[in-house]
Amino acid sequence: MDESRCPDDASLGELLRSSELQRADGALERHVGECVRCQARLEELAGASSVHAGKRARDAFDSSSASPFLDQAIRRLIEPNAGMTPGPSATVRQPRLERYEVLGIIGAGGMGAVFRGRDPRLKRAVAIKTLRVADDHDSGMAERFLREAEAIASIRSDYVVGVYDLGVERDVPFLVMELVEGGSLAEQIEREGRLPFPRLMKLATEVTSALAAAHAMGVIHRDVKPRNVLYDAAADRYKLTDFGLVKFQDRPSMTATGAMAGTPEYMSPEQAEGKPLDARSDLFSLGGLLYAACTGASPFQAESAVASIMRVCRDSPRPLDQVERSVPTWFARLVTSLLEKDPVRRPDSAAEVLRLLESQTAPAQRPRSFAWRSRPAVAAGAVAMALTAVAGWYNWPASPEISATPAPIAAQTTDDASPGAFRVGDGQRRFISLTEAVDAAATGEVIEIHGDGPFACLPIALGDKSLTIRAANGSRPVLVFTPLDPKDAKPAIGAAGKLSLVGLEIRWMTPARNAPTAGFDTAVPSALHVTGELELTHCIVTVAQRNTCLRWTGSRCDVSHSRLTAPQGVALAWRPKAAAKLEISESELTADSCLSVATDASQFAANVCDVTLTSNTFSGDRMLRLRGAGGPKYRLAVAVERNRFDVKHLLVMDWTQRGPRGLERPGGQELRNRLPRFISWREKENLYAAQSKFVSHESLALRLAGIDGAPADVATWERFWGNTATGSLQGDVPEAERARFGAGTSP
Amino acid sequence: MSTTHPSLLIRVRDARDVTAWNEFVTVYAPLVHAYLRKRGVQDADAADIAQDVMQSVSTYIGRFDYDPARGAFRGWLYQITRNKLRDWSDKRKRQAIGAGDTQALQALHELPDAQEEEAWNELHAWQLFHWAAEKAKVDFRDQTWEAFWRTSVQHESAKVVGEQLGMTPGAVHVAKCRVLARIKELLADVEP
Repeated sequence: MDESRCPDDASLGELLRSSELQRADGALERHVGECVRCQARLEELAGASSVHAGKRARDAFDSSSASPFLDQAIRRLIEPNAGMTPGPSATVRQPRLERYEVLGIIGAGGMGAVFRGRDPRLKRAVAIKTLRVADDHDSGMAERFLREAEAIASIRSDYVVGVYDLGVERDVPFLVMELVEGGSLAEQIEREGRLPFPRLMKLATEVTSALAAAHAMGVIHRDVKPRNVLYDAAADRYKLTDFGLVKFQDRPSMTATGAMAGTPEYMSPEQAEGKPLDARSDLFSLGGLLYAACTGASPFQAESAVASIMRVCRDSPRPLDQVERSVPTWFARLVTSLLEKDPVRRPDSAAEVLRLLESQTAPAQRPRSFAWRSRPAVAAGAVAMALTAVAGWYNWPASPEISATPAPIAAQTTDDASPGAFRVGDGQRRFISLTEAVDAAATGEVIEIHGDGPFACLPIALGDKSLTIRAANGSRPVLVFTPLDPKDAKPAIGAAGKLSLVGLEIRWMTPARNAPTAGFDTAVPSALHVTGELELTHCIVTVAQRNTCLRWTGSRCDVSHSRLTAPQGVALAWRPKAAAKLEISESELTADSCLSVATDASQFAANVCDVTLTSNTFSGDRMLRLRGAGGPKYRLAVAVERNRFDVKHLLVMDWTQRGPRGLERPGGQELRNRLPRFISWREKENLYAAQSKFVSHESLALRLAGIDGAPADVATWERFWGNTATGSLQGDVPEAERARFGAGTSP
Repeated sequence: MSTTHPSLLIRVRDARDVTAWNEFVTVYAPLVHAYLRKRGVQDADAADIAQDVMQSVSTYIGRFDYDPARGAFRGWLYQITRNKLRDWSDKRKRQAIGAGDTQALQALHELPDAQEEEAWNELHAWQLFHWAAEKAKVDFRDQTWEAFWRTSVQHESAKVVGEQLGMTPGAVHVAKCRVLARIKELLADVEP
């Protein structure tokens, strides 16, 4: 061999890194085939020297490679909830944030979530609030949060929700707080419409007192609103919470989750305009809060956040005593002064407001001694008013559970609207959370949900437990799932057994992640993840952004009379399994990709999977997307009848193969040869409104259109697969529709 | 080969990283099992001891100070496996002396330590290689992978393999080296 003709390392390296599908340099390859020196060099470049197979050990291994005992041992060791796979761990392993056990969810929204927890060291119940932070990559955030939280913890007041501890776990800051059971002021207002004046006085005094204590420590709340005032039923006290936290949270976002994150209705004008704030900003918000508590709605309520901000800056609300005749003039004047646009015209401090309020209530320190306590409240001079007011507290019909001696916390329930909404089996076992109901239910049992909710739920991992979760007669429950850790991508419901969901609406609050470039997208969060059988009937599943509604790798999946919506994601992501059956009927799928099928299920080579699609509407960008690495290794038999396709592309081939340069896409000829071998498409009476039937979109890397002679319409499509089925765009389809959608598609 | 993300051995120290743990078990449980089988332990017992070893690893790996020296983990796992095997054989000896399964016990003391560790290292190399080769399978065309397997594991000549697969010998060499390069990447993700 003439060594002078040997290629240099660069050419050999190029050869190594080039795709196995690219046409190789024939001369170079021939040379490598003959030249021992180049063969050795190539191996060296591949790093083969550090990879040694230990060939003497091979025999020993082969004899034990098929050990059922080892397989069992591995199955026992492996935790089945890796990534997105559901497992029994939710019931086995208590979720924790640092040392705190997390027992359930109290509420959730765009800003984070509040969980019911327990401090195992001090053996007391706590509330744990996790914050969704504005910027994932803000490294100074944690430090600022800790500093701020220290200041909050320094506030001493009976009317402030105590902060016990705080921490940051996996970039998620959390606060451990006093658990206040009794719901928020917002819920009270929602329930009662408006608070009677005596209650309003109590509220005003207590919240102002909390603000005075905070301002004394130099802490500005920045987000005084009914949702941040909790009613402690045990102590009969209003308590202010979430001091200064709004700074660490996302910008107001009304669209992403639909939650009322950062509602601007209680913002001060200077806050809305982004000016520097002082304590008087909180006084404006206090005015709005008292106005809302008295009338049932914020004075600046509007259709949208922007409209609301404009009202905050421009509108002067009607004096309270004109809206609610029971309110004394002095109180109406106080609220009006709090709502002054110019901070200079508001009272100087919370302490001053508190003094005014206390001077009005002072004579009412001994309420029990009043003989006329049941007299109806009528405005008749400030002092008399206040006396009646205090007396009125004891007759306040909305809180009959309040007794002179505080009831133990355990006896109180925050969930008055839906006591025991989750009923297991015969309905004798009732639970206030889905988590508890699922834990209590045995396999094969039915959980019935009474009431419409919305119910805040923690993600559920059912493991092998087979369950039916259904709406009770007349109920239309909405389940809002929020993970404990906002960065956690656990599915709302993960199941390996048989799962039936009937009549539920599932909203899934997990923030989306960027879609990875290939594979089955196991990193993309999905609302439902089923590795067994699934029956989805009369359900609505909605996910945000790029997330997936349903991920399925099981044997059977029936979706009927349901709606799956994933605006920028996948409605149903499927990794086919041996002889799996998928049926979708009478349903609406709206997604970027309605059906995304993984093509790399190599272990099930040569299996046929049946897909039946009947009377559905598919809309979005792509109807069927085949994706993954390595190309399909199974056969799909698709029967399609009476569907409507309102999509840009009916089929998008998006499979990749890993070459030395990373993921690469096979060329047109490759696809043309392989595709017909694995998919058969039988169809009848479908209506195609596809914008481009199987025609490529330039911006997407690979389309069927990349193939020479790719079918441009439905009829050619059938011939392409070698099918002779007819019926498309005939019969029931009106002539006009046919002209509109099916030009040139007659078979 | 530099990796931008932490290796499996680092990741598995985080008890919450279930994915890493599952991968870890898939890689190492068969190794421990194969070693025990080689030592003459019966299948079912080997599986039990392997499970025991994995549980010990899960308990102590957080305390295993990561030593970047190649093979440090391999040696540590070997020690744990040996200890578990000894515990098991001691127990077995107490329970039923001469009950037939004394082969393993004898074998344990028969081999000189150095030789025994070498056998372990061979198994370790093979198991990781085998695992990575299987994992790399999905990344290549069947033909490419077969060319690699037959030349580098079954030691068939590039010429013979090429003739049967319809490839030039040069293409077979290139195919083999491509898969090897990928395997090297995969291995670096486990034990750098």
